[in-house]
Amino acid sequence: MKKIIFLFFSMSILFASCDKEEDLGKSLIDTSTPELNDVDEWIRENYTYPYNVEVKYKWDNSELDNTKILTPTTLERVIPFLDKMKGIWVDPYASNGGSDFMKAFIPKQIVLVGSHNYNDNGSIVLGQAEGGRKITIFDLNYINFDLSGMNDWERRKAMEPILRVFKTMHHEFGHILHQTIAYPVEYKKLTIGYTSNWMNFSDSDARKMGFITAYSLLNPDEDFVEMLSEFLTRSNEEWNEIIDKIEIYDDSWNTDEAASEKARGQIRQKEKMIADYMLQIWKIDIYKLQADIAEVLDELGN
Amino acid sequence: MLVLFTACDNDFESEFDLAPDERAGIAVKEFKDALNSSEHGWLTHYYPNPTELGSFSYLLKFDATGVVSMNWDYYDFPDESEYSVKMFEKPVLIFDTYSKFSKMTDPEIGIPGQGFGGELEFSMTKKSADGDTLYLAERVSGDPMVLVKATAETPVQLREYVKHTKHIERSNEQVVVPFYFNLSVEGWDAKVNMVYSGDKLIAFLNYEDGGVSKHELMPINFTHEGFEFHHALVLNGIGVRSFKYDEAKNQFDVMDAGVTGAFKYEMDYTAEIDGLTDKLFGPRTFGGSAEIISPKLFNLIDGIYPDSGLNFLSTDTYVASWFPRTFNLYFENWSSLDIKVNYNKKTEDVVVMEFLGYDTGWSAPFDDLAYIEGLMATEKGQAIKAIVTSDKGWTIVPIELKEYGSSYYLVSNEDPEMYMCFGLTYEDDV
Repeated sequence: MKKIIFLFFSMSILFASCDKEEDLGKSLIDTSTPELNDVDEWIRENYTYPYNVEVKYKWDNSELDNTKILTPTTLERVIPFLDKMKGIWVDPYASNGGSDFMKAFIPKQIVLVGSHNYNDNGSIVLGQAEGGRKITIFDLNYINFDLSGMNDWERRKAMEPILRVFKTMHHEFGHILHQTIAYPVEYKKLTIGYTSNWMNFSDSDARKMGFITAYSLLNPDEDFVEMLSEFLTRSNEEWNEIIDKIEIYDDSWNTDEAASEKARGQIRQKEKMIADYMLQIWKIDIYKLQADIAEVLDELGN
Repeated sequence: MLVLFTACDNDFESEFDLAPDERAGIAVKEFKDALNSSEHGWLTHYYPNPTELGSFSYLLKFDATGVVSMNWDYYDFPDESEYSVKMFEKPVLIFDTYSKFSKMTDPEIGIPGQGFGGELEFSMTKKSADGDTLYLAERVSGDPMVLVKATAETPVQLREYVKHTKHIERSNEQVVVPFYFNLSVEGWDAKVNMVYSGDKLIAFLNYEDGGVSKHELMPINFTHEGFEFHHALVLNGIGVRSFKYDEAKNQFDVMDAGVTGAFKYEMDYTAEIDGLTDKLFGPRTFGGSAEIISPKLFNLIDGIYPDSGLNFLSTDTYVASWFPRTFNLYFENWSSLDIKVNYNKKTEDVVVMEFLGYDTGWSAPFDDLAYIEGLMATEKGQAIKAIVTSDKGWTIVPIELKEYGSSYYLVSNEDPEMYMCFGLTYEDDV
C-alpha cells in the first residue's frame, strides 16, 4: 500500500511540474551596455578585451576597507597610469612569457584609489592583493609621469613613487606565480633570520643578513617576491651595484670581507634560484625581462 | 496533498504593482532626474563634520551623462567629477572620481590620515513639494546635505562668500579696534562674544547666562550676504542663526524673522572664561609663537634692532620650576631679544608679564647683556618694555582651545590696538 501511495505522490509531482509553459515576461536583469567615457573605452581596448581584466577607477566603497579614509582617483591620471603599467609590467611579461601566460595569471580585477592608505601608526599601505584575483593600488593622485622640465634631483624624486607603485605590481604578481607553482623549498633555507619584527630593520641591515629589503625578513614568500620585484624594477647595472656595495664592518670599523662576501653570495644564490625557477617553470628569462623593463623606465626617467 | 498543491500555486498577491528590480530602477531614475532637473545646478552648504567644522559651499551641476561640474566658495576653481546613482538599500549618489568635493574625505587634508570627516555617498531622504530642495543624507553617518536649486546669479554670489570671511577675520583692516565681536539681540539679557577660527570655519561663542560663563563651538557657513550658524543660538527663547553684512556700519545684522540684533565690534568683552591664564601660562605650559601681530604693536617693536626687522613674537612659559621664562622678540635674521618674565595670573583671563631682566643668547650681538640693555634703554625700548610688562596685563581672547596647540589672542589692556595672535598664521593679517 505504501508503495502505491509513493508512486501516486511521485506521478503527481511529475505532472504538476510539467503541466504548462509559463510566460516569464521580460527579464528583470539589466543587460544594457553601460555608458562608457573615453577612459572606459581605453580600458576595454587595453585591459578588458586582451586580458579579461576589470579596472575599477570609479569610487566603489564595497571594494575597499570601510574603516579607511580614502579618496577616488583623478580621472586624468587613470590612462597615464594604466598605460605606464602596461609598459612596465604587462607588456614585458607578455612579451617574455607569452600573451597566454599573461592572460592566465594577470589579476582579473585592478582597483585604483587616489589617496594614500594610512594605517593607525601613520605608515602607508602601497598596494593590496587578494588571492591573485584582485590588486588594489593606492596613491594614484600623487604619481606624476610628466617629468619634463625637471632637473636631475627633481626627476629622481618624481621617479620614487613611480618605482614604488610598479614595484608593488611586480611584488604582488610574484605572489601569484609562486602560489600557482611553488619555488624550490631549498630557497627557504638559503638565509636564516626571518622575523615578524622586520620593521625594526633597515634595508641596509637586511642586506648584510642576505636579504634584499627589510620586508624580505618577514617570511620566505615575501623574500622571494621582494627579490623578484627589486630585481625587475632597476637595470642590471643598478642591481649589481646594490649587491656589490654590501659591506659589513667589524668592531674596529674595518670591512669584514668574509662576512660581506657571504651576504652578497646569499643574495646572488637567491637571484640564481629565482632565475632558474622563472626559466624552468614559466619559460621567462628574467635578465631579458629586466632589460626590457629597464628600457621603459629609462625612457620615462629621461 | 494539500501541502503539495498549495506549494505549487505561485499566483500570490504582491504588495506592489511592480517587481523589486523595476521599482529599484524607477527609484534610481527619479533620483537622477531630480539631480538633473536644475538648469543652474544646486547650491549646498555641506558640513563634513558638523560637530567640529563649518561648512564648505558648493555649486553642483549634474548632467545626464554622469558628469557633475562644480565650484566652491573657498576660491574660484571650476572642477568636475564623474558621478553615478546606484541602488544599495536605497538609491545612492556617488561622487566617482576626484574633485573639489573629494577634499571632504582626503586623508591629507584636516586631521592627518582622517581628513575632514565627510563622505562621498549620499542617499536622498526627501524632495520638497516644488522640487527646489533635495534633502540628502550621508550613507554612513546619516548627516544631512541639503541641495537648493541655484539661480543664474549663484556663481557670482558664490564668489562673495570669501569677502565675509575677510570681514570676520578683519584681515584688511589696518587698525583692529574696538576688538571684541559681540552679538546683541533685543530680548536677550547678555551679549554673546564670538571669536572666529578661519582654519576650521567655526566660531567660539562666549556669554554669561544666569551668571554662569558659557562657551560653545558653533560651525559656520558663509552666504553671499553674510554668514549663518550651523544651528540657532537660543537665549531667553529667542533664536538667531542668519546674519547679513551692513557695509556702512561694518556689522552683521540678524536676519531671522521677528528678531532684531547685530554683531558689532565693541570695546567690552562680555564673558570671562575661567582657567584661561592657568591653561596657557600656568605650570606645565609650553608657550607658543605669534606670527600675527597688530600693526600698532608691530610698528612699536620693529626697528628696535638696527640689523634686522621684527619677524614674530613668542612666549616661553615652560614648567613652573624651569627658568628663565621669557618673552621673545624674534627678528628676520633669526636672532632674538629675550625678556625674562614671570607669567602672573591677574584674573582668570588676564596674564601679567612681570619684568625680571634680560636673557642672553648664544650668538652675537644678543650674547652681550650690555648690548641688550643699551637697546632697551632707548625711548623705543622703554616703550616696548612698558607695554609688554604693563601691570594691566594682557587679556586672553581664545579662538580655539585644545589640549595642545590652542589658538588665542593676547590683547594689551594698556592699549587694545596692541595685540598678537598665537596659533594661527593668516598671511593677510600682518
